[in-house]
Amino acid sequence: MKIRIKNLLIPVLLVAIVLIIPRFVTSSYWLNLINLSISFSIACLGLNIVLGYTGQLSLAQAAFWGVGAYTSAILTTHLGLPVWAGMFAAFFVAALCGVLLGIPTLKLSGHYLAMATIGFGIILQLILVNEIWLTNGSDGITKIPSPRIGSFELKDPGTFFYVAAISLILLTWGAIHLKDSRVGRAFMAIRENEMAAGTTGVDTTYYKIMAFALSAGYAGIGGWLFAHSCSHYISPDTFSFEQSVMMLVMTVLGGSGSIIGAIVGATLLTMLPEVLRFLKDSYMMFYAAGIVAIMIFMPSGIAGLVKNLPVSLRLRTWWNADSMAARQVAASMHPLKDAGTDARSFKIEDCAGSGEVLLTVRGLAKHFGGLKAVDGVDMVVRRGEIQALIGPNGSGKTTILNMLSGLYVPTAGEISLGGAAITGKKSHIITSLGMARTFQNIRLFGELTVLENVLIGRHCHSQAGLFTSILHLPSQKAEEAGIRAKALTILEFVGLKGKEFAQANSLPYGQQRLLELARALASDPQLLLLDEPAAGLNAAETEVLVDLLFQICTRGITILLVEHDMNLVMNVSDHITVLNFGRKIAEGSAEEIEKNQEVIDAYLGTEVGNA
Amino acid sequence: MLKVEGIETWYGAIQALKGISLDVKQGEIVALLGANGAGKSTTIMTITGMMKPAKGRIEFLGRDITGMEAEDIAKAGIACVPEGRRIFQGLTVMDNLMLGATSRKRVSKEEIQKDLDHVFGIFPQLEEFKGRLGWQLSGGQLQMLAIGRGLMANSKILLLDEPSLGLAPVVVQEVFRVIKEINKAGTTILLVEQNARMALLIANRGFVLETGRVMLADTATNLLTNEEMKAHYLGSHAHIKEARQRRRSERGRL
Repeated sequence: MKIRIKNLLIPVLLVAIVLIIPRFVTSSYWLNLINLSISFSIACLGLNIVLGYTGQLSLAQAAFWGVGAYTSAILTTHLGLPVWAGMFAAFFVAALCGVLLGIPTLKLSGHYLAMATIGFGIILQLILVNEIWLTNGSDGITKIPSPRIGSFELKDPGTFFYVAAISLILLTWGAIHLKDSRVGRAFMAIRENEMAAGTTGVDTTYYKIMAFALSAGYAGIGGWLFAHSCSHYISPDTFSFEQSVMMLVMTVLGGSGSIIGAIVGATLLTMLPEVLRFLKDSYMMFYAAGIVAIMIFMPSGIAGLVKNLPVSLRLRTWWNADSMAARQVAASMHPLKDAGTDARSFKIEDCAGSGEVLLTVRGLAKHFGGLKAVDGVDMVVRRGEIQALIGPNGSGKTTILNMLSGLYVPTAGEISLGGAAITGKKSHIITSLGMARTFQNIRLFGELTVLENVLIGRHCHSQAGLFTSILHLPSQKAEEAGIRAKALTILEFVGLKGKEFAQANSLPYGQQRLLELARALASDPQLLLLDEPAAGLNAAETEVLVDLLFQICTRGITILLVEHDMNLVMNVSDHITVLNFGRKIAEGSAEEIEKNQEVIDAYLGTEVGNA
Repeated sequence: MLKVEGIETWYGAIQALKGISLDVKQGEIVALLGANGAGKSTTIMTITGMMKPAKGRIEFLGRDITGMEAEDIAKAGIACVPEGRRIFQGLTVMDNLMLGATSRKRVSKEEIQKDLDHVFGIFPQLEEFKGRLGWQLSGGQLQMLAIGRGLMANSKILLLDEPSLGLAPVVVQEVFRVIKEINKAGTTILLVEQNARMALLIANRGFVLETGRVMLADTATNLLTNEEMKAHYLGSHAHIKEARQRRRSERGRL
C-alpha cells in the first residue's frame, strides 16, 4: 500500500506542476523562456546519455539539435507535412546523423573524439549556410507552423508549454528507465571500463553508436520543440559550436550522469542571463563568473551537491526503503528457477573423466614490434580440469590470456574453443561463446553497485534492446527479474550476499576479487580464465579461493589460471604449462613440474620457504 | 628510531586504524603483517604523511613528525617504496632513480654517483636497462627499480609496501635477498607483506594487524612458531592439501 502511494506521488506532483505553471506565469516572454529551457533540457538529457552514461565526450549536441530543428522545419514548410510527423522525422534523422558520426569516430576517445565531433558541427553549419535550395541559407527558415490537435493550433506559448512539458516528462521517464536496464548498464560499463565491458560480453562499438544515436535523437526532439515554438524562425547561427559548448556546460554543471541534473543545469543557464539583465552591460561577466563559481564549489555539479544534503539523503533513504527491499524480495522469490532451466549454468555434472579437449591453441604468437612476447605456443585445456599457466614476469602469460579473450589479435596461430575457431574474434563474441575472464589488476565497474556488476555479466544471456528498455515493457521486466535472480544466486555462491547494493569500489580488496569472479561466472562460461586470482590475498583468503575454484570446477566449468602463488598452483592444478620468454618450456602434472630442473632454474627457485 | 603511538586514521566515515602502536629500532627489519583491510598500507601512508592521523603520535629520531606534510617527512629521512611500485611510466630508469634523490638537501655529484653505483651493484639489471622507459619493464624489474628509487633517497629508514606482490617465486626470493642485503648495509627497514612466512624469515620482529589494531607483536622466530599465526597467516597449507585430496578421491571414484 505504502509503495503504491509512493508510486503515485511523482506523477501526481508532475501533473500539478504542469497545470500550475501556465496559471502563474502569464507573460509570454517567460513562457517562451520556459519552453526554450525545456528544449535545452531535452538536448542535455541526450548529451547526458553519451557523456554521463557512456563516458564519451561529444561537442556536436547543438548540431544534432539543429538537424532536428531543420528537418522538421523543412518538412513542415516545404512539404506541408503535419508538425507531429516532423517530430518523428526530427528524432530519426538526428539519430541517423548520430549513427553516421558514430561509425567513423567512435574508435577515437577522449579529446580526439571531441575534436571529431567539433568537425561534424562545423560541417553541419556550413551545409546549413550554403545549401540554400534546402535550408534557405543564412536567411533561415521563417513561418514555421505550430502543432495542431484537430483544428486547434497550439500557437501561444502557454498552450505550447503543455507539448514541451509532456515531451520532457516522457523523455525523462525514458532516460530513467534506461539507466536501470540492460542497455543502460552496457553504456555505464563502457564508461567505467571499456576493456572489461568487452570481455563481459558488451559489444562496445555497437553500444557506443547506439548511445550516440539516442543522444542525437533526444537532441532532435529538443530541436523540434525549438523550431515550432518561440519565434517560429530558425537560422544557422543558432546551431553553432558555442551552443554545443553551452550544452556541455549545462550538462556538466547539473552533474554529469544525473538526469535531473541535466534538466536543472539547462534551466538554470537559460534563465540566469535573463535574471541578470538588470546588470545591463556587465551581465555576461557576472553570468560567466557565476558558472566558474559553481564549477569550483560544486565539482560534481549541482546534482552532486544536492545528493550530499542531509535532507536529500533522508528523502532518498525513505524513497528507497521499500522499493529496494521489495526488489530484493521479488528477486529472491524464485531463486534457481531460471538458473535451473539454463543448460550450461551451474549444472552439476561430472566432466572429470571425459578428457574432451575444450580449448586448443596452436602456434600462438604475439609480437610487439621487435619484442616477441609470445612466440609459438601450443597448448590444450581439457574440459573439467583446472589448468595453470606459470612462468616468470614478462614470459607472456597475460599476453596469452589477452589473445584468448580477444583483447589482442594474435600475430600468428590458431585458437579454438569447443571446436569453434575464435582466433582474432572480438572479446564480446568470445564471451558469448563461453569464455569469461578476470584481470590481474581488478577491472570492476567501480562506480556501479555490486549487483549491477554481476547483471552486466549476464549481458550476453539477455536480449532487451533499446526500445524495450526505454519503454520498460513487460518482456523487459520479466527478463530483468530473471537475471536479477540469477545474479543474486551467483553473489551468494561467491559469498557476497548482503553486499548487493554496495558500490563496487567500496569493497575491500579481497571482495573485489570475488566480485570480479562473480561477474565472470554470470556469463555461464565453459572456460574461465583467471589472471592471478590470489594476488594480494592472504593465506586464509587463498584457502577460501581454493574451495571456490574446486566448487566452480565441479559445476562443470573448466579453469585456466595464471598465478604466482605456488602453494595454490601446485595444489589445485590438474595440469601445468610453464612459459619462459614467450615459449613453452615444460608441461605436466604438479609433481612433474616441481621436479623439472629447467622450471626450477627459470621460475621456482630453490629456497624451501616458498614452494 | 621510529615510534608510532596509538594512531587512528579515518577514510571519511570509516575508521581504518583504531590505535596502532609500534616501534622500529635502528638496524632492524620489522615486518608488518595482516589480512587485506587490516590497515597495513594505511599505517604506512600515515607514517609517510600521505594521510593524517586523527589521534596519536609519530616520532622519528626523537622528533615529532605527526601531521607533517609528506615531502617534509621524506626530507626528514623516511623513504617509501609504495605498493604497486608506482614507477613513473614515461620516464627512463635513470630518471626514475634520480627522482628518488629529490628530497635530499644539497648533495654533490660524487655522492649521487656513489649511491647510483651502490644501487647498480645490488641490481645489475637496472644499469643494463637505464635508458629504458618505465612501462617497458617487466613486473620484477619494476619492483627492483622501485626499491632502487627508494634507496636513492639515502634515507635512514626504508618503508616497503608489499614488495613481493605479483612476482614470480624466483623473483620474490631475489627481492627478499636484496632487502636483507640493504639492511646489512645499514638501512633500517619496515616491511609490509602478505607473504608472512618469507617476511618473517628475514625480519627481526613482527607486528600483526587485524581490523586496525595490533593483535600480535613478537620476535620473528616466535611468530613463525605461533599456532595462531600458523593457522591464519602462514598458511600451513593443510586446508588446501586436504581439499586437493578430497577432490582427487572424488575423481578417483568416478
